[in-house]
Amino acid sequence: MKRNNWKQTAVFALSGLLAASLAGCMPTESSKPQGETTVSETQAASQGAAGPAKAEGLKVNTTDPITLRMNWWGGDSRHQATLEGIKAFEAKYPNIKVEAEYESFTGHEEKVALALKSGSAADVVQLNMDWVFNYSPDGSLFYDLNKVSDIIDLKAYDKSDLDYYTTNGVLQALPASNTGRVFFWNTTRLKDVGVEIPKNLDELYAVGEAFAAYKDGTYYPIILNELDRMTLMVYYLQCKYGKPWVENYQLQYSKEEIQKGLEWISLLEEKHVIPTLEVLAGDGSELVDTNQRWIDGHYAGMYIWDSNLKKYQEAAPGFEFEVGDYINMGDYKGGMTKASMVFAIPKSSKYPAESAALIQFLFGDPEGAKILGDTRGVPANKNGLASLDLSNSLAAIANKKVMEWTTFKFDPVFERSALKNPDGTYYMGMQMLSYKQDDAAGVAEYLVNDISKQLESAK
Amino acid sequence: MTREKRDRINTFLRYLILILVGTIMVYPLIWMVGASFKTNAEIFSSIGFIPKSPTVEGYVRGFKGYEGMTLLFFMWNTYRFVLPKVAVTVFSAVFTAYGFARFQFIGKRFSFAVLLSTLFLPQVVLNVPQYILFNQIGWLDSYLPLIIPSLFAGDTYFVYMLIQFLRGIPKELEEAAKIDGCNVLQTLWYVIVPMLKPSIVSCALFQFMWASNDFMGPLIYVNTVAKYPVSIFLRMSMDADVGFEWNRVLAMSLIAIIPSLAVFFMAQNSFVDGIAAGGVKG
Repeated sequence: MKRNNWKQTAVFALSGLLAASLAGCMPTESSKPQGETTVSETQAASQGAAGPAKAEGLKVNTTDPITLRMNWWGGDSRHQATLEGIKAFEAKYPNIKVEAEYESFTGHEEKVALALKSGSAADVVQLNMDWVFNYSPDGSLFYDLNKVSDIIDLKAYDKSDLDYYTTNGVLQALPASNTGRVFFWNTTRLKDVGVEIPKNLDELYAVGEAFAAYKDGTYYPIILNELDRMTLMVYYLQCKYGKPWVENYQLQYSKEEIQKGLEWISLLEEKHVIPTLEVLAGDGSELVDTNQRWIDGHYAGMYIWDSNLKKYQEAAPGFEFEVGDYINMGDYKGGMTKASMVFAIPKSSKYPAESAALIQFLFGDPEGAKILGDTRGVPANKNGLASLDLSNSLAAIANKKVMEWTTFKFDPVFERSALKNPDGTYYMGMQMLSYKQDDAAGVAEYLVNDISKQLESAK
Repeated sequence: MTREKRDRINTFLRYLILILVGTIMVYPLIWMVGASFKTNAEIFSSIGFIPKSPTVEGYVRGFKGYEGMTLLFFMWNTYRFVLPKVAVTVFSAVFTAYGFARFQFIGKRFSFAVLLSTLFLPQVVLNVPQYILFNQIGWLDSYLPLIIPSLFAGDTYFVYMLIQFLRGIPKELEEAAKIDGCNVLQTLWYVIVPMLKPSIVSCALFQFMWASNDFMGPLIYVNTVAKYPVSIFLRMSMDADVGFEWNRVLAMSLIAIIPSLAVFFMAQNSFVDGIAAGGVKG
């Protein structure tokens, strides 16, 4: 008995610790450590009198040997294009050597986050848009790109982009490209069914009815998974009400408005515009491009990122595809854009001027931009874009439609993993609705609560 | 029905069921071989393993690699840290297990409890503190962070396995060795290690497979592409945004598992012995 005493004590102590840590976890969800400025203050500050920092007059060193590190994720074409771009950069600055560090997206966030937090990150890093705000909510982690504005031509970027990435007056990152969702149609199937690409809601419902009557009724105009439903619902609401989804970390839509959006999603199911989630689950594939029924054309459309179209087109050989115009759903133009990826210089970098020169060369210099092409999406840098001939690029055609139509921007919280992952709020909410476990009012309340919680914790 | 006939039917049925189930279990592997010759569309639309229009594109493109580095280069990288890691794991695990199984020392029960509790600690929890530590020592972008923890018996599972096995070895053998004049280390080397051989082989094999398949470890600690092991190389072309050719990934994976398979088959007998022995005694 006596011998086991310490074990029991240890067990009790450990369980106590566990309980304490659990209790400790609860409030941290909603309260952040003090001293971190809220973004609303931040934005106020950045828009305030101070103005962006002046260029510090750093000169790119063209004599001493320097080794820069650049880190990115991607696939084959991006790797090869970037490596070539780096070669051209090294030819322009013979004293600078760039070490390329590249991999796939899997595990990339962990790697970059660890490196950033411990000060061993590369000199130029490619980041997801929301990581900037997650890891550097007060702008302390990244070098202020305003200070090298004589090296990077900031005028080539849209003012809204610069504002978006400015925190506490610090321009933390620059977007490589902006992306938004478009309607993408399998026109071969539409023709078979005998309908045109819908331009407004009534036409959309009519297309749904036509598909219901087509063959055995297992064909649908649009495939939407849970996250797609959420995004399309926001599109619908924005068309209807003309408000941004989130502003200053406040959800701009009331429970009643979101309820209307959810009822509309249910209506789409009823009108045979989209399959129920039960039907979708029966397909046995989580991804659309590996879904047998997408491959054989049972689903004739998507609401999807302009940069991904090629993947879905190539997944279904033998069909013609077309990027449709935005469907008019109200008095306003809905939809949101975001940077598909951004580039930043961590403060730990010893060579901010040379790193800035690399960013400028790859995205702002016609020579670099031409080499990269659209491997990182359609360039957000106007000079880079102007030097490209993208008339054959599906992504560029779609991107043009996005940029012309869309006025709202994604907030950094919309795609938080707690919301958008398969065990996250959007999936749960949309499943509750589609499987009729709860009505639109209940799901709306659930969404509002969870989203507000996330917004609160991001402040 | 004669008895002989009944026996025959019996055997026939048994084999039939075994073959059927066996085929079902092995099918994914066979499918993988077939799929490495298929195009994307065919991979997701048919379950058969014989490609309709075979293509070797996957193999050809896979061997192109990056900046002149191909699959074989990255495989060589893998074994550059896996082999030392296996060696130090075996060395440290045998020593530690011997200590715990045969010696009495102050705090033994406590340290054994700590050792065991780390068995339940997921690697993810250790990533951050270990990264900070190795960063400060200056070991990032080398294989040391992957090897050194094993040198200090960081792989608890193997220590535990060897201890269990050691418990089944009669102490009389060691006493006899002592009478013959062996010191502690000689006893370990001449008596314990030969007895432990099957278990040691399974430790080495397990570590070999786990370390070769490790993705997160090398990804976090190694920055330079020229030092990437094959586990990272296999994923390098996988871009979820624009899509990628599955046949290429499958083809490369197929080639990459050949050394592991070869090592496994070579050591199969000892390996099975080791697991069985470790499992029976306790």
